[in-house]
Amino acid sequence: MPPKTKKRPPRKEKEEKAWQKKQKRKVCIFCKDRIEYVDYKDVMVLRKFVSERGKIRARRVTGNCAQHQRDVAVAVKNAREMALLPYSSR
Amino acid sequence: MMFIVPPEADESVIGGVIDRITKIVSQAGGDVGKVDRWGRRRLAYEIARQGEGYYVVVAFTAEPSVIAELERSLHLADEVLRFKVVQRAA
Repeated sequence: MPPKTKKRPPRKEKEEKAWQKKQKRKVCIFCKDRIEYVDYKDVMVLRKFVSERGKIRARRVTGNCAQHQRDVAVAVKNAREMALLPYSSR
Repeated sequence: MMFIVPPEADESVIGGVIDRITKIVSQAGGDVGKVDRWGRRRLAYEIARQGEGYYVVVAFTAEPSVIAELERSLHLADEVLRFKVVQRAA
């Protein structure tokens, strides 16, 4: 029957999209590891939260919770002051 | 807190700065904890035409009023390139 076959493909697409969204959802790594203080001296960790150009990555990219994203932002800014991270590169 | 001295600074200069910090903190009844010398490290950007710096991290506990005095003293210290005092909630 033509109507049935027509209806099926879009439904599948929707399901796939929902699945992709679920896969994308990240858990804040600081909440996961129970870290309550984001250290500005820990350059290796902070590197993950800045882009190639030295910009702070957005929350939707990092998947951090609001509190920890704020802490990361402060830590990055402190690290920049101490020349551990660049203000800008390139 | 953390401070940076020029890379060519010898042991006496570094020790002198640490002594200075220790003196201020202990005079106000505080305790100096761990002194962590990171050693020479590349700066993310140049400070006072220096591409490298000698990093030292000093942990201490003291009354908040000590910070003002410490900052005043370190601003006057020519051998210190950059410093930062960070308060951590216990």
